[in-house]
Amino acid sequence: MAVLRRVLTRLGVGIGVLWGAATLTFLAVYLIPGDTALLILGGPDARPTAETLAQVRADYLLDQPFIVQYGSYLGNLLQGDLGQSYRLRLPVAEAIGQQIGATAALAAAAVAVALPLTFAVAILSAQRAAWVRSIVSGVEVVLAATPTFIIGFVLLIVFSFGLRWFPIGGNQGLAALVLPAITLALAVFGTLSQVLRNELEDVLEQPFILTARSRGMRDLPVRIRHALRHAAIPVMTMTGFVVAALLGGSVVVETLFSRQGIGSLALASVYNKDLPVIIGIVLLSAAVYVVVNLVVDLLYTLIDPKVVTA
Amino acid sequence: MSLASRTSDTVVPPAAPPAGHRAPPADPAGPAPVRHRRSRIRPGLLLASVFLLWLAAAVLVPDLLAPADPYAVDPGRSFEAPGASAWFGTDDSGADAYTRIVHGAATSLYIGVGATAIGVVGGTAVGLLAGLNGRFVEASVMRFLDVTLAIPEILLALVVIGIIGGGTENAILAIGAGSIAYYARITRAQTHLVRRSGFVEAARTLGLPAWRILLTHTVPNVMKPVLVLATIGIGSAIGAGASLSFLGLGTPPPAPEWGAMLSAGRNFISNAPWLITFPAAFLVATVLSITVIGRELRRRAEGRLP
Amino acid sequence: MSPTALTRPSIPAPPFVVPPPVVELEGLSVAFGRGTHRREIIHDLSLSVRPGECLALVGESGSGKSVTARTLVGLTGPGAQVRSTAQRFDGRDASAWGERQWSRIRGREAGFILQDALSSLDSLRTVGDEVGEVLRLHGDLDRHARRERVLELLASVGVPDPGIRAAQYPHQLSGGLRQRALIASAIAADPAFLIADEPTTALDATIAAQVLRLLGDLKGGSTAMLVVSHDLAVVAGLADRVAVMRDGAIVEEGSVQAVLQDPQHPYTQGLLAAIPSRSSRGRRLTVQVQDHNQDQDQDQGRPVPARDFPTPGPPALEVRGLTRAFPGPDGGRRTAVDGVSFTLHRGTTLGIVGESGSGKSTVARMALGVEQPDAGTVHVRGRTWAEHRASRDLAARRSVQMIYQDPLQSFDPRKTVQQVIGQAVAAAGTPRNARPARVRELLHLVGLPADKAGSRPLELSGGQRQRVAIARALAAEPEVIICDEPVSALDITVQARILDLLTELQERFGLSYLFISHDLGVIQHVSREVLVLKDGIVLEHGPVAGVFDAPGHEYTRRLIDAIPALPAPRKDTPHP
Repeated sequence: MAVLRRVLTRLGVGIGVLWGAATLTFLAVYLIPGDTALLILGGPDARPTAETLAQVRADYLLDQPFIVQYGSYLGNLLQGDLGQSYRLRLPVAEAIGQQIGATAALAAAAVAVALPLTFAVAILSAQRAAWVRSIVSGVEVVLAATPTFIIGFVLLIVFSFGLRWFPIGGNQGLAALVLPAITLALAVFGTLSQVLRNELEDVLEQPFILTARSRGMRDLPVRIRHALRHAAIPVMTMTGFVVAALLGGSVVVETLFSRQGIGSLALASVYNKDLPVIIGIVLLSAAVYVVVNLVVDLLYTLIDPKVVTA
Repeated sequence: MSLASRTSDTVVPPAAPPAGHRAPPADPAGPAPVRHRRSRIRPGLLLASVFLLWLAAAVLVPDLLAPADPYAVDPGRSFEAPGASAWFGTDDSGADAYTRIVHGAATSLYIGVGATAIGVVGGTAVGLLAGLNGRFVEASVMRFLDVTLAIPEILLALVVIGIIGGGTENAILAIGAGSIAYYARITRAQTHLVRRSGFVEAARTLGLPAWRILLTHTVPNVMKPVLVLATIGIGSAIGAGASLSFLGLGTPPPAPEWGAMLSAGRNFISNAPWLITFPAAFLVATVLSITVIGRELRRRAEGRLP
Repeated sequence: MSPTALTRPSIPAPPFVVPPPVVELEGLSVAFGRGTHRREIIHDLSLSVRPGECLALVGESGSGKSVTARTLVGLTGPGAQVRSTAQRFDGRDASAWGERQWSRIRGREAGFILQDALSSLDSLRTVGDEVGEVLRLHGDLDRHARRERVLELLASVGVPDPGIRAAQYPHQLSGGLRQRALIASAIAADPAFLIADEPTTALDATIAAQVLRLLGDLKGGSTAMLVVSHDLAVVAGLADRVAVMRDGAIVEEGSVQAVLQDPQHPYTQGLLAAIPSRSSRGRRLTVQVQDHNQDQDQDQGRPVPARDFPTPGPPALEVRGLTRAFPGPDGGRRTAVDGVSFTLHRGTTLGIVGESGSGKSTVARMALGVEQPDAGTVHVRGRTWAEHRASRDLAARRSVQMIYQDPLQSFDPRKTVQQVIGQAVAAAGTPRNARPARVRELLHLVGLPADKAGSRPLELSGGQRQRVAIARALAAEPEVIICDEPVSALDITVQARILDLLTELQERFGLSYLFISHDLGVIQHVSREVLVLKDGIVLEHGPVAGVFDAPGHEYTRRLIDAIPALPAPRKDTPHP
């Protein structure tokens, strides 16, 4: 029961966040200086006639008061209608739908590399000899501080142009996915691993770890069976960071590796001032954030008994 | 990280043990303190300091380090490999990469400091507003921050640029606006901690007026960890600025900016890789040095937080 | 045995064959760190425990007692450099054992009980899983048989409803049950050797007494036991032999009777004299030990004369019907303090004793005027806090000050000692040019060297920090000082010095103390009157003699019974 109540509360909060994000972006567009109708028709250079402008204003409800525009926008959103792209002459949902597969594959591949790598490195290096820890933490700091596109450049120069193991870009086949996915994974790994390793080192100094050792448990089992679960809990609060890193990183990585996807769509929309698409992507990322957090929250209740029973 | 690698906002130390419970005398020699936090002169710190000195020189007196004009082109010497005449090589228009890198330092630092200043000023204002006022104000502000946190910083920056357009100043605004929520959350958490701390209570029992406690105890103790984290934030913001320029949304091309140089160099990566390696190396070295210094500041501050 | 230690013959050997020791250590030295950071914390230490025998290692923090205990089962920790001339476990040479050999010994042949089961049990696993882990690691029982055995074990250590408890998580159990579960996990494989490291330190007095009885029951038979504690009284009822440790060496060792009744080493004498109790009332707890190794935290030899408790003056603090409730976890309100009334007379000490959750700290904060009661009043100088606030009476505000259990959190981390005390001096209206002199005077009053003025509290020891807190309270020129567990986090000898200082200052300035503690010994030592608080209600209130000699309430009686008894000294402990 407690779990159900918790899920419902979180769901309510999530819907609130989505509504807030929708309102915020709507306000931003509503309040920008300049003529939206002109923007829709291709900017001042398009030189539209007065009739076309009036027609567009009527079509997009731009001549209506704020509350009508806002109401119609929310109403459309509820029906899954994100509006019409100014440039692509497509519904925004469709434009995003065409690209989402490629980015989802990239993100999934990056997570599949980053998480095992993070956990393995943290478990093996926490509280080891000083030289091990300084090498590992040095690598982590460098990776965390390096902008994602630089990591991509390095991989590109070494593995595509140097060793010629992987193609330099594109969406064709698994080989083209490898470098972009590793780029994103390394960017996530650098930060996540620092946090997990620090947590593990703190947990390993807790008395219950000493108790486990005093029962005759060996070092690696102690780390995996006892310490890891405790260290994973604070790391789970980093999910927001991971989602942001993957989505944000996809903009850069897709540009660098000339890939299709949400990231390159977002960038193209910014170049073209195609606001409905940008807003659609923002709402999508907020929705992903909300859903992922909901899942993480459920995982919490599985891992930490205090969440439910306290 | 693409935009702003905020390692952790857990500057907040664990709460004091509940009073009234027996606090067992800690045995300092007990559970083998493995982590030596003694300060030795660490090579990383030294390297970072030396590099930052070079960076300061490049910002303040670029002509001393590279007297040539960063905008000068010479089609006759395009794609010259690094050597005695052009230390870091030349690009497609024959411009000297070393000169452009030196002169680009100022732009990078301008973006980093500018964006962080916007984030810190906005964030602490919002955070103090939330932390010092009643529950209703606090709840509203926090819900608003929840919304902005749900949108990745780089997307937030893209929205801002999509609306107001690109360019150096707009990039600063976009990056700074994206980091306000981060600083606001830290400020609020820290404000709560300080307000409930024993030393604020002790000052109240001395009969000090509320405004003096706010100015002498609360605000300084809230700001200290925020400013320490802001140092690390400058590094992240520089990386973010370069990322935006790389995407063609920040500083526009002819200007000597590292991200823009990398974006241009991308087209010649197979025949002139030095157009990538040198700007990339300086960008990474800058972000890394600032991060290393910032982490050292944080490490020193950690023991002294309330 | 270290050369400085005073050896005595151990217990007279029984006529039959003496069994060989289960654990034996000779010439142990342990160091941490390398190069210039290397620090040796155990020096040339030897000990042994025989079957059926209980040895107590007693010492203050930093004495190395825990490290010694852990070394006995190969758990000294990563980075430790352990050397010994001989180490044997159950007759086998253990000096060269590595992780592999030790992990076979631990749990099966040696059990380990740590303090504070809340942090010593894995909070994410059920109690049953924790207790059963030893069986899983060492036994060949299947899952079903293991569960049966776990329930038996829990029942054997006095956990009621073991079936229900085994499925719960540590935070769902009370402190006493948790500690019992931890003991069950240590004895699961029926080890020949048991280590208990501060087994009762985190527990309330009545619970601690029960756990001590349980450990006493385990001692019988052939089990060898090592108890580590900072508290001489705790080990008095449990151990056969006691070894007193200081700075990584054993300074005195012998039978409990001999060491406690007739201590030979000055350090042991000082330790025993420093224990506050009913009989220590009116006498100084610190004895002038001829020892050059004292830390700088001691007083500069100002003796406190034996004294009578002062006769009560006019009321300094009057509390009437204080009630306060807090929001509970399930939306309701939990009453923390319910109708508490008392009067603190000028120049006297009123002790409030209660276990954790009794509401004593909430009473303190309301008396201080920083927490508002739901009902009831606090009168200071004849008016309530609300009236003082309305009239902005700053002198009244300053007339009640507080000293906390953790002084560090009551100092602004950015300020030096000089600034911390200086702020209070300024608030008291001292003219600017007289402030530095006043700060120096206060430092001298609390026994801090003047050169500590420039330090930050973080750089000071626990005792020194508490002295700074006292100096700051004094700077406000108060009538009442509320002391909320002011010595609970301190070692016994440091506690003695702080208690002596508080007594001295009371005499000198006619201060009134509201003294809050869970420690009945401390309360009996300092108080004129005592108030017993349980679940926010005053159970008993009266002069110390009345309440402790003829307790009117069953709970008080249990509290008194739980005070671990020290054998009466054979001769008077030396006085300065």
